[in-house]
Amino acid sequence: MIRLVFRDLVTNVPIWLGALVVTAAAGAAVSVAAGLITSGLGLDFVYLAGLTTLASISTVLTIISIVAVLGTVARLTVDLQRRSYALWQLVGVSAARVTWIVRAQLTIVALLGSALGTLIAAAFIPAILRFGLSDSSGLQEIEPRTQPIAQLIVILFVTAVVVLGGLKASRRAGQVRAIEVLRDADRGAARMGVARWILLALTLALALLSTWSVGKSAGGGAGQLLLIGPLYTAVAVSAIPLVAPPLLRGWTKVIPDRFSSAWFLARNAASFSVGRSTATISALVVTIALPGSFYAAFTTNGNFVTASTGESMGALGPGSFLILLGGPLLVSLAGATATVLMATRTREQETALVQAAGGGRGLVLLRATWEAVILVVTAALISVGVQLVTGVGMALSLSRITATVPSFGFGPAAIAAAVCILAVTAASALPVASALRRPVRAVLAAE
Amino acid sequence: MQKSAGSTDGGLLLEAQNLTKAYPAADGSSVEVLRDVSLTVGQGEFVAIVGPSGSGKSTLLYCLAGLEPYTSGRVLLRGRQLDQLAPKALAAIRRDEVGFVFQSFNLIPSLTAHQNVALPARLAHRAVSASAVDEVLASVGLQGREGFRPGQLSGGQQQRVAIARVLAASPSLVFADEPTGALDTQAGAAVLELLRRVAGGERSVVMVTHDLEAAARADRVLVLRDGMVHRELLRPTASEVLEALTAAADEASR
Repeated sequence: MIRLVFRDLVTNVPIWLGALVVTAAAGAAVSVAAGLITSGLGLDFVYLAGLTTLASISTVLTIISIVAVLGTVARLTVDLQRRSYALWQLVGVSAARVTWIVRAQLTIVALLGSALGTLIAAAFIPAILRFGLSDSSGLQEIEPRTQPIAQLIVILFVTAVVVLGGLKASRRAGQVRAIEVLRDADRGAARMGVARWILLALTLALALLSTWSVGKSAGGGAGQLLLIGPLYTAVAVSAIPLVAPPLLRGWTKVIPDRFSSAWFLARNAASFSVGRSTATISALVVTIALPGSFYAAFTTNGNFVTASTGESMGALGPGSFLILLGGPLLVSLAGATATVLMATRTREQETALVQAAGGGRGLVLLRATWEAVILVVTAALISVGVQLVTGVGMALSLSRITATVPSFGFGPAAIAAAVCILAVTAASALPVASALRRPVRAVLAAE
Repeated sequence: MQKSAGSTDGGLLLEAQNLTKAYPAADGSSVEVLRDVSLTVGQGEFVAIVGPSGSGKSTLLYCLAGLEPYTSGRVLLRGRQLDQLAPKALAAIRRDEVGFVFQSFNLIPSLTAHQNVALPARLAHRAVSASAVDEVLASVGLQGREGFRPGQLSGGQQQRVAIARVLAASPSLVFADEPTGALDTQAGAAVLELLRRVAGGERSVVMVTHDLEAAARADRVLVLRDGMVHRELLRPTASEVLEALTAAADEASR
């Protein structure tokens, strides 16, 4: 059984790469938070408390990002290997054992990934912390420090979060029916399950409550300020199966299919993939909406401060942005890129088929590029909704005290969307460019 | 050199002359998969290529279709030498002259049956009416399945969509690589019947198969062994194909 666990992992490295990349990013992100705490050890309580607060916010946001992204990445990992799980059952491996094998594999990948991320981050933590604390008040002089024990704790902590986040996906592996070995059955549309409805209701209630409470008193907004954006982002991620497929189909209709064959193929491929897996689109929404809504809340609150006191609250500097949002954004961007890369095998086959049908190299590359653009634009549109709700909600709540103009954080979201387009286009087009060098026979031949 | 003659009833559609194909081996040497193969396919012919595993059947098919470069020799499709064509011209030939039915993964999973059938026309910027596509799908027994995606269709139905795609594109030459290899007997027989109907008039079919019954439906059967055309049979029965294959295997083991 142990041999099966390892052999299968090695054979399906490209599929497990997604989970590995996400856990490595998570390891790196949480290492930075741990670095904040270890740098404060031995210092005055006020410094330690300040650093611990920053570390806590960063860790909570990173965990939200891990849970949002990893659950879908793990599900995609399992879905891409359904045929293997069916074959295992045919040779006598029980459904319960399939679940445990996948859990063991996920634990190994999580350990490897978090160790890798932690080790890589160790080299950069001093520079990241110096830059990150450079625009804070009173923490600039702190000397960054890392400790091996803290790194070990990070590895174990991230592994635990990843394994817990992947429990549902591993159970799904055990539920694969042996009959699926006969053909690649349609795995069905991504749906709003009971857990997702509950999550949606909870996050929505929390987001509304936080928004309402910021306008209760003049100084009441500071505590919730950092959480309102992430909460509305979490609402959007929970509702993705409900929102993303119709939104994608709707806005892409603006450009008719006759515009180009590449567009036609990309539009259908993107619609099909978003309808079946929320992995990529969830990660993209987190990557774009998190900085967008964060800035929307922060600047709307700044407008309130200016309107009520006549003074400026100041801007959120790049250092603070890196410390607070760098980790979660690293995890979500890694998730988006990895999930696109994980679908390389299907894309190779499609490339070969389109070539066999007379499509040129330019067409298949353009199709891959359009698909990436469609996914990012769809995520950006969802993000616009999150930012509008965050800005308007904050402004309405704060206007109970002083009339407040909303801000929406479109600038940071646009930058995040541009980074996503570059990363996802590369993840989509580079494997296709590589596949174009393989003879069609190697991909489609029976012999 | 072994040369197989095409039908003399119609014009010559495809001609391969002294075709060889070699792959680099792990030890740095090269392995010849096709050795000096010459053959012709006439208009309206149904030609089957059979042979043991590793005899080079699929490689030959893909070289003839311009999807795999060959080492030496030449392939002429309607008089145009494939290795002398630029990639764009080769792609145009695949759009306009050639159709394919593979063993599996014939269809793009994100497209419906209707969209898959209309794809070659779309790639060639040819107008194709929705009703014409529906008619073709109905002609292969898939009425009412136009909006289904491949994952919602059985293996046999997917193969029929692939054949409908060929019918809708009206290419002059159809290449089929083990089209019944992943199907049960009943679904396989239905697919072969459709392929048999595809061949005729100006349209020819070249099919690679392991299935003796499938090969026996062809006008001509080429028996491949060790990368060479070992025998050619005209309208053989399944037992005659078996006999030829057995003889090929015996000679190979001597």
